[in-house]
Amino acid sequence: MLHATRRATLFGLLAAPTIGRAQPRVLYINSQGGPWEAAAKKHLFDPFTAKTGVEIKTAPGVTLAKFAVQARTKVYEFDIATVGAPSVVQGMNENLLEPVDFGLFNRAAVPAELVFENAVGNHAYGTNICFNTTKYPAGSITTWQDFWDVQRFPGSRSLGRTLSQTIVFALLADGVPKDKLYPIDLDRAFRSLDRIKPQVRVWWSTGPQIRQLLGDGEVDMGSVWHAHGTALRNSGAPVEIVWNEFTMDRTYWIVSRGTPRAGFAWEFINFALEPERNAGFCIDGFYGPLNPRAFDFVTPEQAEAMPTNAKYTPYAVEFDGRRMGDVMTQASRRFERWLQQ
Amino acid sequence: MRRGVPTWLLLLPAVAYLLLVFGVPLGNTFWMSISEPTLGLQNFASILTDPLYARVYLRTVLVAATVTLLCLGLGYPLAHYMARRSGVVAALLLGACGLCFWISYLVRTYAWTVILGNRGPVTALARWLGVEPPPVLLFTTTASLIAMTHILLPYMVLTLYVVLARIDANLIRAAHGMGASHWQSFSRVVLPLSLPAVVSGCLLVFIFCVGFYVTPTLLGSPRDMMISSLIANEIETLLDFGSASALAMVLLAAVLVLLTVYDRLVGIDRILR
Repeated sequence: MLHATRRATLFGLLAAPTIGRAQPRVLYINSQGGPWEAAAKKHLFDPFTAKTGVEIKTAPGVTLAKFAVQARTKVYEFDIATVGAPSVVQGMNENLLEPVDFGLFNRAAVPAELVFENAVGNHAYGTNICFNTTKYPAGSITTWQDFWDVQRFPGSRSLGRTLSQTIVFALLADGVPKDKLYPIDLDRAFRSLDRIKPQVRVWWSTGPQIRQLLGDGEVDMGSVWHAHGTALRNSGAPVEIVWNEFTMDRTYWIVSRGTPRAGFAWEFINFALEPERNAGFCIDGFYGPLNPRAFDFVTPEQAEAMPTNAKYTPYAVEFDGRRMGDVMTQASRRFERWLQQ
Repeated sequence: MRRGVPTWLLLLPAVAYLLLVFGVPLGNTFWMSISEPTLGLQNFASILTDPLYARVYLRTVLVAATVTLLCLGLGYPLAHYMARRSGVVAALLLGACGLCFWISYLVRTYAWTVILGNRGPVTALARWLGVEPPPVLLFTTTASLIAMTHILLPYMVLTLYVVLARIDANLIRAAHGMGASHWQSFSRVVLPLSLPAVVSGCLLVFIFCVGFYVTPTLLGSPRDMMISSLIANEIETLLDFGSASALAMVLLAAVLVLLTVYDRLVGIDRILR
């Protein structure tokens, strides 16, 4: 840890005089594509380049596996990415992340609870129940117990392969109160999943996939990332997004361990968290800003689709990233076996 | 024979290239399979003892075999027909097969989600015929078999066509002249002459199919996990490079065994002819 920090600082000192000459002023950012990239380009990348002269290039395919490969090979396809809390914990456990360089990152500018040893919180997304209103009356399904209730609400379902979310839903459906979810009881979660398994036609893995499944009526209800639910509703599809018992996934900036461009990375992350930047990115990217001051730049209508909206947060289920991260490997292995049964 | 440059030297650039872009990563994968997380054969041991791996391998082989048979059953008559027709009809059919090659398999996979989906023509037809509720095709094993067969069919057809088209028509005429029926001329003359192509085509389709990833994931049922999905999962969600590498090595070994059998049966040099 100490060693890595010292090395990063040393690098900063060494690199400073050469910047602009030898060191190309480029930062490679791992992009999720789609609205994420469009919003990031408009509100973060282009203004950052205009301000600092550092060019930003994107590389697609966000996965922690690439971080592992990069730390292993020292070949860096990208320097920074935005990932969820379980990935931050996994990345820290596997020693794949650069520690925050407080020489470059101004921690006073953002709320203290967003700053971690190796990650800085930027935005959040919700994973909500979303159902087809031509199949069920509006307002009829409000909890995960309803979602699991195949007698009252017969029909096909889809749940995500993102287990950190699906396990929480399974426990809520089984009657675990939302403040008693941890430590995670995997046996109970899988027993609960056993009950819904026959109704789950697809275990989706990407946002566009579940959007298409619900939009085309392939399934009648599903767990949906709120951005995709919102997009679906805006396109006129008969779907309702339930802002109750939704999970709140906070997303963090992380820097790939050992990258020679860590200096630019922290400078960029600082920039991205400025309230106006954070707000602009979240409005166009369909996220909820984590910097509360960002809401000064958000209209009430825009806030309707934001999970960090104070109106919704009392009904959100927050993650305990560390305790969820602890069971993720075991849960993933078990899930693959369980699917085959 | 004496020449200025030894012939093997001509191979050198290609061999060096292959070693660099194929041999080195392969060696690296092999090394990871026996060194991650610690040196030893534990990754291979877990593949042999864990019923999940055995089940997924078995399913992969069964799916690949089914697709191969479907391709052969559909492809042989088509290739035979094309080979016996000359001119426009054959050219059109050949073009249609070629067209399939040029359209990305990803696009074709997505096309099947539309065709087999809730709002697709198959469902509409079933409804029109009064089948209510219409059969559920999307996200079933059937869907993934249909799509994989469609994607791999051109490989089978073109492999068969090349050999069938070169069978001397005089041989068939001679067979008929000797009093053979259509069936006899086919079973005694055409079929034996085309057998090497049948084996090549099957091998090609089978090996491609064993490595399929996207199509079964997007179209198949949740239980239809193929070995590539399992490998991807080991890396993407579990960061377990060791067991993923070992799984890939076992898959490679299985394909090599197949190629050896092929070599014994037909001779590997036949592929080049």
